[in-house]
Amino acid sequence: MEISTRDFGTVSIDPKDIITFDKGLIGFEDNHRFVLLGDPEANETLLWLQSLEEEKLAFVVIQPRFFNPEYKVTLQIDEVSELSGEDEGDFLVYAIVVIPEEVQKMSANLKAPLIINVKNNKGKQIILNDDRYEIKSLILAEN
Amino acid sequence: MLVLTRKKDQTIMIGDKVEITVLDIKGEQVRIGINAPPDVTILRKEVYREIENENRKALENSGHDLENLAKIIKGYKIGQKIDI
Repeated sequence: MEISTRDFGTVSIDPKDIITFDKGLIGFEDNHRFVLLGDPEANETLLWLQSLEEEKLAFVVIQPRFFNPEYKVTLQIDEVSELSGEDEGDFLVYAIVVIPEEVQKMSANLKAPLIINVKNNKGKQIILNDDRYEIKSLILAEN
Repeated sequence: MLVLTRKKDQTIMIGDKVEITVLDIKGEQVRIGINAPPDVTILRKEVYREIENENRKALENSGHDLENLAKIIKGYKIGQKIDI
């Protein structure tokens, strides 16, 4: 199917790739359908999470392992069952990236990561109770 | 906003699944206990707001060369000064 994207014009996607966020994202609770866009061959590190409902809603996301290999998310049982997951391997973790004017200071939100169940394409933005992780975790620092 | 006054150990029910209890009052601080089912998210409001703001800031990312940034992230050495 064809979708309108913020930065790439009209793009063809496979409906099977649509990720459903039942609760939307924090601050964007009415947006439920997203798709991950990018060119895995050229760049697997940074992808776009594009809303299907609102063209302007597109987030750069990164898997935390690319800059913080020790990052671990502990999911609560209820969170796991909300996404109908059965084990660790079912989930992918992404963090939303903010790229400021000073690009050196680009950061990812490790405090509120996106959890996606790859088996059923359901996603959720969760907030970790862990104090170690910051809303603005620098990507280019202490790598 | 519904305003109620409670004393220590008194409880408020919200719907039939959420209970809020005043556990302790010390000066300006109130210790509040919350009983809710696991699918109800409970957050200090300022944390929610911070994350909402950060999500909004993330939308201002237009026009960046992601491929270039990705290369930089992959090859980064601690303390390296980046010329972007």
